[in-house]
Amino acid sequence: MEFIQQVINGLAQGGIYSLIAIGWTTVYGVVGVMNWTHGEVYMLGAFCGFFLFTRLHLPFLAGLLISMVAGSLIAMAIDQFGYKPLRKIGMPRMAGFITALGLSTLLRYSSTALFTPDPQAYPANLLSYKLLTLFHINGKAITVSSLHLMIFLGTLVIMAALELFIRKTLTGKAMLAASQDMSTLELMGANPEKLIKITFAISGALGAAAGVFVGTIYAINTMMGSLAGLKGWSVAILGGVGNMTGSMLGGLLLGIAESLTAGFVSTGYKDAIGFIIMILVLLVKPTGLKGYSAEEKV
Amino acid sequence: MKKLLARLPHGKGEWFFGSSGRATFFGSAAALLLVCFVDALSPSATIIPPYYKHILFSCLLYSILSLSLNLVTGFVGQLSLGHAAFFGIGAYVTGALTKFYGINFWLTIPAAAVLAALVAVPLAAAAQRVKGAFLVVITYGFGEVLRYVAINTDFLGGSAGMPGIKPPTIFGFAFNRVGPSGKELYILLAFALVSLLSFFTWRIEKSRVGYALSAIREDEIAAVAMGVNTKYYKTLAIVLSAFLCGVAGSLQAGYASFVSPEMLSSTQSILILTMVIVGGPRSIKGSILGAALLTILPEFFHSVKDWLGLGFDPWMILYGLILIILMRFRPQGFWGKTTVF
Amino acid sequence: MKKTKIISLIMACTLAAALLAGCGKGGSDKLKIGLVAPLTGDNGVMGESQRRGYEMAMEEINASGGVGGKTLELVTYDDQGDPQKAASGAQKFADDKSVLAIGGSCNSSSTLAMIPIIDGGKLPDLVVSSSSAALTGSSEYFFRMSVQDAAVGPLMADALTKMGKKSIVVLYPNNDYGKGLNESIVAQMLANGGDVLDSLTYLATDQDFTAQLTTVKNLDPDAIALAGTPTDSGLLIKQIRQLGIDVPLIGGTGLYNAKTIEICGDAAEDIIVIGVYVASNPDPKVQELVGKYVAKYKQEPDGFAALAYDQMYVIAQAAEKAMAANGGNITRETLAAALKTTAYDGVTGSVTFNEVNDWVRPYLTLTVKNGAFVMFEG
Repeated sequence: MEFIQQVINGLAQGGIYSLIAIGWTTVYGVVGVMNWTHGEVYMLGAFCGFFLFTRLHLPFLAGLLISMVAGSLIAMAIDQFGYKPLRKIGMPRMAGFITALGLSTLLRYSSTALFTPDPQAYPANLLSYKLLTLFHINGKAITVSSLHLMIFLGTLVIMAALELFIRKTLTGKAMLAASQDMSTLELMGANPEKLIKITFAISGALGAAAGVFVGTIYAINTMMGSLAGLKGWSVAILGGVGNMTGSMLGGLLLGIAESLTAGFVSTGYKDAIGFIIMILVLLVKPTGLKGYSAEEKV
Repeated sequence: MKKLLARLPHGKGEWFFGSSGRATFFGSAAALLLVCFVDALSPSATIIPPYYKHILFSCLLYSILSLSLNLVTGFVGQLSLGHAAFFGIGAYVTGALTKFYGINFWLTIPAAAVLAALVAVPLAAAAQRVKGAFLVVITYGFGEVLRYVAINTDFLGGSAGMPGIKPPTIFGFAFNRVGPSGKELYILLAFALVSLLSFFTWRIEKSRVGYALSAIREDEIAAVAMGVNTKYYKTLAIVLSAFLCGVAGSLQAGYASFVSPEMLSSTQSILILTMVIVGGPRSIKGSILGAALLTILPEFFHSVKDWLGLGFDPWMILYGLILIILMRFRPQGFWGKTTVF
Repeated sequence: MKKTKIISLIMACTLAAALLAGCGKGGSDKLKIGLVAPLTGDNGVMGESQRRGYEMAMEEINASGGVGGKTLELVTYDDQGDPQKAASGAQKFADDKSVLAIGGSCNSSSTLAMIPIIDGGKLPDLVVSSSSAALTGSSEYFFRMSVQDAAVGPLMADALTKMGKKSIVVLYPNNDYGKGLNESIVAQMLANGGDVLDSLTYLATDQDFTAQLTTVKNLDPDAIALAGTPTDSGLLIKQIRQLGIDVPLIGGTGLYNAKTIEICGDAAEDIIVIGVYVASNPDPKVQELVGKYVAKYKQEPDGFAALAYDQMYVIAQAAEKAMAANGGNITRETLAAALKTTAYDGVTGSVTFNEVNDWVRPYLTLTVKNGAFVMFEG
């Protein structure tokens, strides 16, 4: 049954979209800026992993963790030099967005100048590969690649850890509160700057993790951030901004939709389908699948 | 004629550069004519190479685009990352109509503009429901979807684009055969459009529509309370802006005699948006300045790269830096009047 | 008001500087060759290969005395794969009378946008890619040294037929190169009495092909033909093998690149590729190029780099001939005329142009053994 196989293919891809989307959505929720540089953090994370695996020959898990730390540092640096000065002058939203655009262009093209535009591949023996048969339908095997499965599980673990952090720790609860109303939280005595730093760190780590995952399965280049970043963004909006479960669902939905489009409709429109779904969802339900129904303040 | 001239703006207006609109218009028209035809007067070598005329045309073309987007971004305060789509639609309509159906270039302009405007209607409907970050994503996705349509439609040339579009003619003379470099009439046509558009924008700003748009930008809820039909005005701004981008697209198709899906790309949309932002939203001369700066500087840095012998092109890196620094120290752009978004 | 004036002044200065920027006249002892190509962006790899090939050949030519006593100089213009920028670049070089000829661009769309300008400026333009049929014979100043889809497709189909493969699937990127190659493979396959089960397309920037390959797996073909470029084909080959589809693979000229093997690793073993040259060719000319190129750029030259390397020699040879015939003087017209009668023996074969300035050339059939391209035998 090709349909079921395509759905499973889509789930594997969707996990990566979810991971990128959560990075978007946490920053948008807390800081309120469209962090266009997220795609670039993802790209830099992938390149960090590339150097760790090819030069230092680190094992996968060590490389992944170091890349995530590096991603956090990069994201915090972006905030420190890009957004913080704007917050001091009261951050008009448009200025934040254009700054993000500028930062993203700057990072993408400096990386191209530095790493050359050549595509790069991770070492082939980084993770062992096996084609796993899940079950049989009408004598046909439904399969999933062990890499995809591992990365999907990795995504779930990271998301579960994040969910725990947000539900159980004070900082996490503060982040959740901040995504609903930052100014009230400030009155409650929370330190917004610290909260924002943590948010960027988490977002950067998630972006870098997604980058390393993609590098492990596919190949990387300095332009990879633009499309992936945007897909992550549409997923975040699709799921409802500021809502992690929504992002997770949105990512899986987009992965499946792309896979089904490529399998049954037209491979040429595979990338377009995400945007079409997003536009339709936003028109019917402007808050996204699971967004908070924020009342407009008068 | 006298009556007509009297209707032109005068005094301290700013529908174009400088203190007096009329003076600036005639001044720049004269300068432009000189630039265009000085080569025809001089008997020997070319004084102004076609490359500069090409850049001049690009500046004017992008001025049309940024002035159009200014109606949406500057006046209503809505960010759009999909305006290249309207530009592309205009270009493709003109390309297809002149190439496959042999229709006169001048007749395709209204067709192109109207189609671009029609396509903008659903986008305008979307803009009623969402704003801010959401609208940016919708406009972006909208442009990308149309780009995929262009890539996947073999009739329109697919990803290679559509070459061999006939140049426009005037009194039987093809545009590219008139003047020393064949670009002069295009420049004058683009200049006429820029001046008209500047004049039009200036008039709109001081009109009922302009005040309504400003009211929406500053405080939409208050505007509704004052009885402004916000739905109508928002739609008007987007559709009008798309219409004008369509005209620009036609012009580009005639000038380059070539259209391709890259015209609809998000890079193009981002470029147009940053032109408005750099020059200053809501400012006419700002939009023109932004378009000129972001057209001339990349070309300039191509030469800088050759002088310094750099292994890479520094422009895109600088472009990023310029945006960051500008937003940090002058978020309203060079001549912008507002930071409310 | 004062501020405005200052800003205007700065503007004026920038404009003046920009105007002056292009006016620098090259010395008469130099022959400038321009290159308009994507050096950054999604197609940056292609343009960069072409630039390196040019640079390599130029250094050699200049080291051995240049062309008729004049040294060659390369000036580049990064079009980022955008036709509008490519047109600007072409215009810039067309105006600069010290530029004798240009190369580029890579994507057919950018090259198509450049044609009216190089034709008007009578500026010879040579390309190593851009295989769109719309470009054939588009200008008498346009010279194409790229591979022909119409020639490579039948070779791929014939090779498959010879191996006894009857039913195949074609995978091609959704651009004019992929489309053209797909059409010619399908036509030849049907003419050979074979069967094409399906032609599936993808976007050249795609990374995940599981969806398409699931369809392929269900079709159960005898062989798969790939019509893409290094990154996408490398990923495709890897994913085809990972999904357990164990049928022979054949690829077009776009696959000849060390990156293809680097990306797909062991999965590349035994794939068949139609190529224009092979780095393992014992020909000393080829070995010299490969040795120098690896020393300088830390990788083997791909097909584009090798073609560009030959192309620069073709330009130099034609320039030499034109100068000899015209008492040491050279113009774009005499260079173009000399190019038409080119006969140059390079690393990618014997270069000659036909009546529409296309290079009709022989091809090699290659395969991968132990992670390197070698000649295919039997």
